[in-house]
Amino acid sequence: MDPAGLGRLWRPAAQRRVRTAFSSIASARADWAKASSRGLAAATALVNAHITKGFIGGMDIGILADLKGIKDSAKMKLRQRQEKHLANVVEAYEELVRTLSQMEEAASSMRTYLVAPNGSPIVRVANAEESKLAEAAGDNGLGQGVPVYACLSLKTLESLAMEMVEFYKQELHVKFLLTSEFQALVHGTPESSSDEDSAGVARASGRAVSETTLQVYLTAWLGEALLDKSRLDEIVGIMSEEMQAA
Amino acid sequence: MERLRQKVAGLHTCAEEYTEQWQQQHVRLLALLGNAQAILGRLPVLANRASYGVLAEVEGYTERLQAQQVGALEGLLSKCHDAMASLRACAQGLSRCARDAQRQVASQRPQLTVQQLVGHSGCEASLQSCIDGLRQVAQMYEDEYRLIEAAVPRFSYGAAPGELAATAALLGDQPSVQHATISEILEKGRLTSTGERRS
Repeated sequence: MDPAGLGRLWRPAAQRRVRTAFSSIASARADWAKASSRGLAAATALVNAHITKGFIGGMDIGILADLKGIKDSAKMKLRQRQEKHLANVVEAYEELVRTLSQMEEAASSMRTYLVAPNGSPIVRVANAEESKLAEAAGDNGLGQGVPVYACLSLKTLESLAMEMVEFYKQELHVKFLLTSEFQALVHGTPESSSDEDSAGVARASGRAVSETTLQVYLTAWLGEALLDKSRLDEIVGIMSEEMQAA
Repeated sequence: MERLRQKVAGLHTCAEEYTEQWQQQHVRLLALLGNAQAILGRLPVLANRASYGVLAEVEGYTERLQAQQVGALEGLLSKCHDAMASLRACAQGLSRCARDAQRQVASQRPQLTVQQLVGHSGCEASLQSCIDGLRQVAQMYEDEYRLIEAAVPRFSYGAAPGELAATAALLGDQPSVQHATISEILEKGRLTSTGERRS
């Protein structure tokens, strides 16, 4: 492709794709934040119900002790609530998976191909199907490294988007571990008949889960320590400057 | 004389605005300190690798989470200082209102007689009681700001959770700010100075 063709056809098309991709990532990030917040609320409620359930056994309930089976009824009710909260945690996790998949798709949709169908001298921007063919034919869709907006090439822009996605992938892995732990907390492990002992220590994944560990789990969900927020903001800033400079 | 009363009334309205701003910033400061308190309470737990359960298996996670929490704490404390700066501005604004009222009366020509200064007209408050009231209000907020200035630095690493809870409760009470007295002073100053009558 000659440089004139690149400037006339490829750059505007690539600019549109990059803009759409980063806009889609921004929207997915907002959805992630909402889902994460919903998940945290559900996980907090689940942990609170679990701790309360642990206390019931040793609780002095005064005159209510005469009511037969009241503690068992209370535990049953709390367990039902835990299951409801767990369902909300899982739903939030699934939403996080969906948003990550949206980000991944957006980050890999920037490459722009030009084709000249049936040997025609008229070159145009390839559609999705033609893009696949062009890719198979050896075109990388990177526009020979020319800047898309002001100075960054498509490869660089793609790397920035992928870097963002990578942070979310790592954080999703943590969320997966936490969701699995919450599931084990509610449903217990197959080998344990009771999901908590007399000291109110639950068992998840075959290990004792203390209240402090549950506190760490909630902090981990809230803190999202693997999302490097300063770097994410930096990338958004770079993109914004790049688009404005064009 | 009537013009002077109007000016003093305006200063009462201005003082009322400062007290409202103070209240907003105080609520904000308490919320920030509450969050800082929660993080400070969590940090010792986060320092213990044994508390991480399944997350201990994620490489470098313990350090990352602690760093994230410390970063969040620093951010909160920085916002606390911003809120404190706004509170200081409110307290200074109230002192300025009291000083301005005093200055307006002192610069009145011909100079007011003692009778004019302390005399009541109907149920209107005297000019002297209006100035004293503004001074009293300003003093309350200055004292409260001094308490905040002394208490906020306690929210730092290694603070005992019980001490933080007690400090937060003390700040929430605002011991130097007597809301009922302040409302009465400002309302009286505003109404009587404009010649309005309370029903």
